[in-house]
Amino acid sequence: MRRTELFRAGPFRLALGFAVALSVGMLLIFGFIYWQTSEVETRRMQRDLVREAALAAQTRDDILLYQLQVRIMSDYHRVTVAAWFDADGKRRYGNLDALPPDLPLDDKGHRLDIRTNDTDQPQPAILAAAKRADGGTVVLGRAMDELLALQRVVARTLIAGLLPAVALVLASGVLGGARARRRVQTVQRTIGRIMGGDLRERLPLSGNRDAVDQLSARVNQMLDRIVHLLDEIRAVGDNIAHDLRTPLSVMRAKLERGLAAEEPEELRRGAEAALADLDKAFGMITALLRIAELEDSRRQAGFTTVDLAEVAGEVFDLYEPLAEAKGVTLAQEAGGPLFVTGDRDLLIEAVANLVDNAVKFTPGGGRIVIRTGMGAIGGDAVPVVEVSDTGPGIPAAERAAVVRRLYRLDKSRHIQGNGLGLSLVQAIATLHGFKLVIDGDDSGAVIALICGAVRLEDAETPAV
Amino acid sequence: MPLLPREFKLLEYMMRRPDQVITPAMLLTDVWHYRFVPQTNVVDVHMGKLRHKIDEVGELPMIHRVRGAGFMLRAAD
Repeated sequence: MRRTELFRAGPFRLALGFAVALSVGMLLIFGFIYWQTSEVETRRMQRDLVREAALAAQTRDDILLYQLQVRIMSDYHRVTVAAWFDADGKRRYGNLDALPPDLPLDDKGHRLDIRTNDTDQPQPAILAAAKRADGGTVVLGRAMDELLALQRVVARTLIAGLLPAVALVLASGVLGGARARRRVQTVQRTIGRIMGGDLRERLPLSGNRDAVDQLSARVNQMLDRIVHLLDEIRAVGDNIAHDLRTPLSVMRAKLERGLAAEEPEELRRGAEAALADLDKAFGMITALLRIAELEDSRRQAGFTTVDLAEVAGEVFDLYEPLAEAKGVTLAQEAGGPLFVTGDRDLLIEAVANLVDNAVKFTPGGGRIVIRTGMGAIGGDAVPVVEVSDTGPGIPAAERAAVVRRLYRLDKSRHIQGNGLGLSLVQAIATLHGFKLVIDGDDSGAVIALICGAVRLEDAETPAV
Repeated sequence: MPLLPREFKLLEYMMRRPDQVITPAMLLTDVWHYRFVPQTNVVDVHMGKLRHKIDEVGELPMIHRVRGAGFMLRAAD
């Protein structure tokens, strides 16, 4: 792994962020401790010293002397400054040789470097001075070396704690980054193989349900879906080839027979019959292209208000003679105008396909009803157009399959058709946001187009 | 002659195009104004009814069926 890649890796950057946050946090904590120990403590000492100096300035000479003596004698750590000067600045008692020249005579404590009689080096101290009534001056103070030592400890602790903590965070970032990098690389290699054509390959799951795992699982699901769709497309391709082969070979046989015939009239009849087969093949290709066009179409701009009852009436008029010729009763039941938003031509085509199917599959003496009305779907009333027949029905197990392109029920193989009718209706329904519901039993199919924004999982058989 | 409106339009369309082969798809597009072709022979049945109404028994038929292609109106001469 190249170094630059490591530092670009997300986990490392995250660790860097953590390290910065940790440092800031620790600095804040230690800064607070430092401030507490230095500033607050210094201020407290200043306040005490000022008060003590003020008291000492009003104390009787002999008592002051005694107090200063006690103060110096009991100071084993040699941190106390205590001195008394007379009005001329001459020392009367104490451990300072002279009045510090830069110590102002006010009611405040001051920080100065001062050398007492007990120390060799000047050291920082807090001093407070007060004027006595006779013109003398009392100076009280305390060396700050304890405070400074405490501050040094705080600073040392900060450094000693912060450096390893930051190092630890960064190290974990590097390790985590390397691990994440390895996983990403595995995923990349797998994707490479999949793109290379091995569609059965799946992304590895580590099983710890982290973000990468969840993402991989989703990608795997997507791959499953893609493979499924590819299989479907392949199946459609196979079916198209198969379904085109039949009319083509029949056509070929008819033309051949016609050419071999003596009579020109027979050749003409053969050519005519071949033309009919050709039309069938064309019809299938046209229908396939039409479904593709509908499925690609995202345009709903051409939608207008359409009366479903009027649509059903149109289809009824178109198919009534055909049904009559087959000895099937075609009836229309409409409760009045039923308006939906959609493409009138496409809706006619959808209903016509449903009726077309019904006419094809209903034996003589049967009955087909085109019903339009409001249906109760999941508590909502929505417009429904429903075509029911007395044909063989569609088995429950095959209801999902019949809307697939070129799918035909085994028992319908002998009936003319291309297996695209319901696919087309489905495509039109999807384009409109409608739902196609197939129901019924072995005494007839009931196919309904539910024309409303329905929560699809709720959609059951509509009660029209 | 009692013709339904649709049948009348159908006849008019045929009469405007004598001696031409008219396919079911043309009729669906131009007479019914549909953009699709049903799989079953709906048009044939409509045409059959029309022929039944306009051609007297024993007369030479006006509308001929062209096998595998469609229909043609030929003026009886």
